[in-house]
Amino acid sequence: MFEAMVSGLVQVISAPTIYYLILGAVIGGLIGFIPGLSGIFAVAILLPFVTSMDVLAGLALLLGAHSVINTTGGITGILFSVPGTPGTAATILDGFPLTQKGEAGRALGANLMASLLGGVIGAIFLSLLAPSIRPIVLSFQTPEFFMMTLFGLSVIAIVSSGSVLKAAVAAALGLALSTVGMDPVLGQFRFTFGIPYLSSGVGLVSVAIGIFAIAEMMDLLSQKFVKLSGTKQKMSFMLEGIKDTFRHWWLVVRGAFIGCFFGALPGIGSDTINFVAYAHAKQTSKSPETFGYGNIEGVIAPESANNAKEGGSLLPTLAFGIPGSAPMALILGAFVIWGIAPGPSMLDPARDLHIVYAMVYTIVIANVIGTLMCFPLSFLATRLTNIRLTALIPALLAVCFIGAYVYHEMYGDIVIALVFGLLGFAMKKLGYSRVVMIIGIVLGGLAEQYYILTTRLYGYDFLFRPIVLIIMAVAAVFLLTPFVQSKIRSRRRNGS
Amino acid sequence: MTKHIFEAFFLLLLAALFAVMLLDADSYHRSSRLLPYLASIPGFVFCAILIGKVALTIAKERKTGPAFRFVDDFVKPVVTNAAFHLLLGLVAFALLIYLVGLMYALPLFIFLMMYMLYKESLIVSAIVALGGLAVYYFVFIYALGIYPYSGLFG
Repeated sequence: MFEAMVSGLVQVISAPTIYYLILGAVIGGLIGFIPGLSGIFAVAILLPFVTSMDVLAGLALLLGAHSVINTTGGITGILFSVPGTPGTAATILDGFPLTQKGEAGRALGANLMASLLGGVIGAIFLSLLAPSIRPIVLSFQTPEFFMMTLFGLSVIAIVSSGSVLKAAVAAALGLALSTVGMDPVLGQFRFTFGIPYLSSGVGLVSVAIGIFAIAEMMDLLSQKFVKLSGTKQKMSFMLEGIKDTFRHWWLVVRGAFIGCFFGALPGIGSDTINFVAYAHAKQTSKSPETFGYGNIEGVIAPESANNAKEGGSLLPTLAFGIPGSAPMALILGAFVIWGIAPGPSMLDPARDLHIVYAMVYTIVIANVIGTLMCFPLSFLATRLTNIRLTALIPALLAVCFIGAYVYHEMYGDIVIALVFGLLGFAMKKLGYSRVVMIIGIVLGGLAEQYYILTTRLYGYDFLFRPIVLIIMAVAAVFLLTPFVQSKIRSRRRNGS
Repeated sequence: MTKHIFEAFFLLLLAALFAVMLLDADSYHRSSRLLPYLASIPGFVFCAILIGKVALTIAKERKTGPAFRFVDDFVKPVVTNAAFHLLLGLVAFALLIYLVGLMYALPLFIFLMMYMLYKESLIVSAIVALGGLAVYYFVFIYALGIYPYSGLFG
């Protein structure tokens, strides 16, 4: 095994593999910066180029690009409330309020450092678990996946604040919207009202752009703000963010663990994972009431999780040939082209284990390159927050519409972004949680799919499976904790 | 009062949406109905409760507060709001994209919004608009190969 580790490292740092890795990290970083373009896009455009390349050089290019996508994706989210990738939507919730408070540099510093540490922890997780992952992943069947989606939905109880009824309406709206399009099991069209665009459902990227970015810009104008931030940003602010990340090192580790664990489960994407990590940060914070108003912990946890996810999602891809996410499915395709069969041989030190370790080093080095590249880029980007909104908003709105369009290249996405912009503005003004609605949209379809499969395959006996019971218990703890915490706080207040 | 009336409209719209979904879901296969029912029935009920609460608040404010004038207190604040202007601008942008395509609509929208709505100078507006067009052309069309929506006359 040690031989495979050393061989993997030597192969990654030798030319030309290292050059392809740097090129991949730069391409991934630039793609992440453009709203609407995600990891699947980066891997898809690079895939045709790697087919004639050496295996390790090709993997360096693909993984190098994919690993840093979420690092730069968080920058536009923090500065302008425009999520660069779907996996950075939760970062906006506290990142953008920090920008409005004049702490954009601090939020970006924390974003970059948490992303780097998360990516490295994810890679370590992959290297440690790769040889022994088989029984753990095999124990997860459809009932367990169904319970994981319910667990994800239980997050709603934590991220919602204020009126419970309003949060319930937002959750119901999200779940209802997740049913638009083709039924996941029977293929029946629901709520499409004869509009062909709606047959594939409402696009998450356009919804996120509308509900967060466009709505925020409307709100800024309605409150007659002149600039996003009146504070001139300095490099020391970014260093403060880095210090914040190390101050909350345990949160970084927990966020990374959430990213690795959920990433290893096929079908659960970074759009879900970052909300789970955000909810965990809020639940365990000493000041949960400041979440949504610019708490740095709300930036650190999701950023750590979405970069750590890559290590986790490689596990089932390599161990069983089951892609952990859509980009991993394309990487699996590249393996097939190169004539490598993922499975037990990938974990055999005598055969392909050195490739696994080469992938681990690729993720680590790509994250380091991505972070180093982003520091000057982010610092320059913070200056944009001092530009007059009347000059900034028209350009940003155009970027939002392009971002909404390029995801599926359909005009309907532009209309969806517009409609959800209006809905998001109304929800913000009236105190209805937009995050809860997004979680409903993301998880509703998955929960339905797994529920139907589970009940058809196992009936209701699935409720007595040991892992299902454990996940139910954890979800119950998640659901009950906010109520118990508020009871304890009110008792303490009454006592004092 | 304006906020409460706005909320009442918002909730009525949502309740109507849930009701339509509920009625439409009735025609689906048994297994396809489950989630639509699970979402729209509670959604409709919660909306109805909230509408009741908002209506009570409005009735209370009407008794105790100053007389409410629909045009002065609701229509005017909404129509004169900068966010409303932005929304109109966005609708116009969507229409422009539909008509002349994304590539030509982009600089036109930036220019019109900056110059006419926000009263920026002609030169600054033109520079930002052309900059937007250049970025779009080089990043999306030239580098990434994503061709824009061509529009009805684009």
